[in-house]
Amino acid sequence: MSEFWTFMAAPAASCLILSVLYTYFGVHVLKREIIFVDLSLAQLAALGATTGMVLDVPPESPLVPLLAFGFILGGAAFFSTTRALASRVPQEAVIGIVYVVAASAALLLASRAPHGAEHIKNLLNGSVLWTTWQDVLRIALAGSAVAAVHWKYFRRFREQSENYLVQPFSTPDRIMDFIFFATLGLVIVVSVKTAGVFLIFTLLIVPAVCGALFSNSFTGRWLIGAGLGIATSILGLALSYKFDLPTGATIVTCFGIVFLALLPISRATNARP
Amino acid sequence: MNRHLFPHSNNIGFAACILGLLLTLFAAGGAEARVRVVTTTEDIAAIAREVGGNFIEAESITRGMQDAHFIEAKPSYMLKVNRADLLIHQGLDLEIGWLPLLVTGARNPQVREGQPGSLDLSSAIVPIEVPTGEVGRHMGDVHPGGNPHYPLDPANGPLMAEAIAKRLGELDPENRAAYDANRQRFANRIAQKIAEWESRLAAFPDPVVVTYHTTWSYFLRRFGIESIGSVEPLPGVPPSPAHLGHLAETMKRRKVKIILQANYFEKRHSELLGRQTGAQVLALPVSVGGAPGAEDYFSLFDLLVDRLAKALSQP
Repeated sequence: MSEFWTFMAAPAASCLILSVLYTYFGVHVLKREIIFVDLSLAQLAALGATTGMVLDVPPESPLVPLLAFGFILGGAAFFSTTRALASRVPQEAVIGIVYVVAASAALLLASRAPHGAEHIKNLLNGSVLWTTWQDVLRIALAGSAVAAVHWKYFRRFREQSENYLVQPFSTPDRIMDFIFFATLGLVIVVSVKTAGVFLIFTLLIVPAVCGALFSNSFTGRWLIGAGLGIATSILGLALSYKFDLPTGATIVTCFGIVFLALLPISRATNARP
Repeated sequence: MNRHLFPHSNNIGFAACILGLLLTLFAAGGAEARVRVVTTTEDIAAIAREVGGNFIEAESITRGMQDAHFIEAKPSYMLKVNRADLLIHQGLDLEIGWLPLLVTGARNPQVREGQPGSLDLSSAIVPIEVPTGEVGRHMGDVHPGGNPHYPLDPANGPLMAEAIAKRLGELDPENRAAYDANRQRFANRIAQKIAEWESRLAAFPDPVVVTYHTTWSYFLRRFGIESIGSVEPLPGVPPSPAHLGHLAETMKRRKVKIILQANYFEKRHSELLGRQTGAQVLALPVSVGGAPGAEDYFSLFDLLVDRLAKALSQP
């Protein structure tokens, strides 16, 4: 067991922070019915990283996350603009378009680059196992910045999420929307290299969905979801260690199993009046 | 020995601990405590076993049928490196995508780069295809230090064995003589086998092939086989239809009958080319353990030479 913690302490710490952050965003995203927004933003980050690779930027250069964040800000601005169309075009459709186009553009760019296919695969799967304390620090710093913004506008963001689908569109509203996407994007940029696109999507959606199974309040969903997120990712790390399986995929599968196991329990509890 | 159970890696105390434990280990006599060797490829593990005999245990991180450029991170790799006395890698940036992360994650200061427990075998051989001038991604996945697939020249085997024997002798001075004797025996046997392999392939005048990747350069050079082109336009870049069409023309003109590729690459491009030109696709192991029958360094070349000779003898 002591060996487990020697190797897995840093990955576990990053899963802990990311569970809390992503579940928070996840509860918002579920309310807004824009489930695939993070896949879209993560794919834009991947497109940014791939652009860096094609431009011969060394992978460890700080320019790579900057490029990724630049692409995400572009996406954030785009999403907050297209909400004006919401009466005719659902936001989810726009998000889907951005996702497939960004994914295909990354494939096009990578097709001309050596080992581009492996690069794309790495971005999807991530490498939780290689998380270092430096990565944890970076995630914690970005997380604190994001938390500060959301602490200040906690009510404002919550009201916006509650009324996302009905509220008429105003300029301050659009700015808040942009800040929401930009802060989510920042968390994605600092975590996509270690966690990967698949695990990020899982951390965003599954804990928030599980929270929604058992609670109607915003904070309740967040707390239940974050707790479940932490427990499940540590279970995934432990199983990956015990049975020597690729870590990211093991964690994602654990989340799937936990979700399936909770479904009947929540039905039983909700059936009682 | 519970050396791997110490969770704190970065302090001097831990290093001293390791050193102290190592000293007791050697003082207690190397006979029962075998040197734990971890290698990045099975080729190196096979040669290390030839040299180390019963005094070491050698384990490879990648399997022979895996492309050592890329591996999926698994927890057991960290455990292996954490417990290693000696970590031998092929170098020339072959493992650049994962080995530095693995060594950091494994928390074993003894096998960090520059330490006695870390050996870059490429320093023992003379690399080929060393790029001149500035290296960029536009040239494909070019390795600045040269082509890293050097174990595929059997004449490099004894050079690798020599470097391993030297390092093992430093880590485990008691058995230095044994390591040296094993290395000598290995070198003699390789020399004899190279003559055998060369004479078998010499039966075919001016053999030409097309390769998939630069994996084969050392092998072809050793046995005087000419490669007139590769399926990949640049190392690591998948072929475009135009490139394949062009290559098919050249193959027909030069009457190339063989497309040679490592068995871990996808075959569809080579097979398409084979259908267009009538050439045979030979997907062969490029490392020990890469296919049944390639169990050690000698049987790997036995298999390669045999398959190639059979393909060349077809009309």
